[in-house]
Amino acid sequence: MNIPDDAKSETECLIELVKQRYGDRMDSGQMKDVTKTIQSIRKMADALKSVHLKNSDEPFTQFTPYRDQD
Amino acid sequence: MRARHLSPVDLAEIFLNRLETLGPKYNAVVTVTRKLAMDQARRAEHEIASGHYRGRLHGIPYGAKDLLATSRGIPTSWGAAPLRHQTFDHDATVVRKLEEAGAVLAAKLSMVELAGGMGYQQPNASITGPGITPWDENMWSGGSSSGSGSAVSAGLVPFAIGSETWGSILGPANNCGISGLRPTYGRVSRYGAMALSWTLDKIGPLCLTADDCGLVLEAIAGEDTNDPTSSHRAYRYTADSKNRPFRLGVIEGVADDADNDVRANFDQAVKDLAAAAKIETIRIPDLPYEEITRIILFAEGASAFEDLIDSGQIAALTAPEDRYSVYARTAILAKDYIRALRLRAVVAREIDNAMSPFDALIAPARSTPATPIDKPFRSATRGSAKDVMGAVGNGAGLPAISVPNGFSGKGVPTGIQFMGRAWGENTVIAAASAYQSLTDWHHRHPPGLGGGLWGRSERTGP
Repeated sequence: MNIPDDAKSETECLIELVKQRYGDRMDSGQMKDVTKTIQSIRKMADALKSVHLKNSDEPFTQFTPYRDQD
Repeated sequence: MRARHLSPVDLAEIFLNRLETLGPKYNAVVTVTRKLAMDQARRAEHEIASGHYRGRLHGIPYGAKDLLATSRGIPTSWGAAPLRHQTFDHDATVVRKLEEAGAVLAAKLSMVELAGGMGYQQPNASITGPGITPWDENMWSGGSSSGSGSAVSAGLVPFAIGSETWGSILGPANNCGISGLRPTYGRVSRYGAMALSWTLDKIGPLCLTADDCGLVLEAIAGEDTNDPTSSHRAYRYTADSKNRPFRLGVIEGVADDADNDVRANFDQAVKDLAAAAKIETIRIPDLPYEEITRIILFAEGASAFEDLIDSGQIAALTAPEDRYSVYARTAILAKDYIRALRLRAVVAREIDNAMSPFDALIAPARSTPATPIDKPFRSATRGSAKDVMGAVGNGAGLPAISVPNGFSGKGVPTGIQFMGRAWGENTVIAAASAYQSLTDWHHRHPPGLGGGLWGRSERTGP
């Protein structure tokens, strides 16, 4: 797939999303802090990709279907 | 108490008075529950006099972190201004279990707003102001179980209940010079406790000794139909294993990032422990432990408080950074959160494998002693400090206990933590108790607070 040259990065899209949702609640300094945090979270997410996972590696959660007592 | 040499009513009065007069000095208390405490104390006195002794906590006053729901119109503020007057019509399971054990709820204790889930960066992040360690009125008690730490340290209650998502029991225990136990995830029901992160939150005791932590844990542990994550494994505290030789591991480089005093005290503690343990340095697999636990915490926290965030009510929180920082955490992709959950399983297996030859891993409880109440602090949850033990321990749901191991050059406490394999609370408590039998740090109390409270064997001052 060809990605247009001016396409935003994933991080930029997420920053834009937060700005759209909450931008009117923050001043420029706060938005700058939030932008840095989003960038840092993206770096953390990239670090998770450094470990190879198999299809069989499940999330460590235990879902049990619920049924109330009769 | 059982022999009726001590009156629960008299004891309740002593601690209620201390909570009311000294609590504000440390910003430790949200609500003194005087009427309830006296009712419970009178009931305890009557029951004990009738021969109905419920156990070692019968008639003993305690404080509950103000994220534990309490009925009877007692507010549960979560440390947050928008929720200052919040009430619940039920008690948290932990509160109910302690009532059944005959303990006396004397106060709801202060905490960092929303247990620190909005990303606070400095101690003044609570409706009660910055928590203050009784060792130095200019220094932070640690958080988020701030009041639980300072209230026990100052002798305002014999024990307290706190909670830890990442650091919130061990941190206050460290800063206040007391013993704090983070149980295995699922050991204690979370029903009725504010959720910051459903898969990371643990509720546990803060006491003066490791042994006391075991006694309190026994009272609050157990399966609860109201909390499906609570374990069916029963817990009984056994205190008789602390005299055997232990095998302890130290992760290579675990103290490299620590303050000089913390490192020196940890090194001395390792020497002291040589009398009771064989200690080895180990390496653990190279995995992104901190990133995994952080992504889980951030994503779950943003969801847990979605209503407060979306409604804009966070604008009323105390710490300026808490009023907006969390917006960033609302943009974590589902696939990244799920990847973190998948990696958590890898971490749990790898770490258990690495820990299996050992009774516990040891490390400094925190990389610094208490920091000034008016300055930002370095935080592992925000990524400004390294904390592989915290990331691993909380991410994998492992138990750990922090006990005091000395003082900094400025006279505030430092701590050592013992972290065990899942469900290994008795082992970590035994190892910590063995350390406490070799040292006397847990017998030291902040100066000027005794009033006859501490026993003859106790000391005041560093």
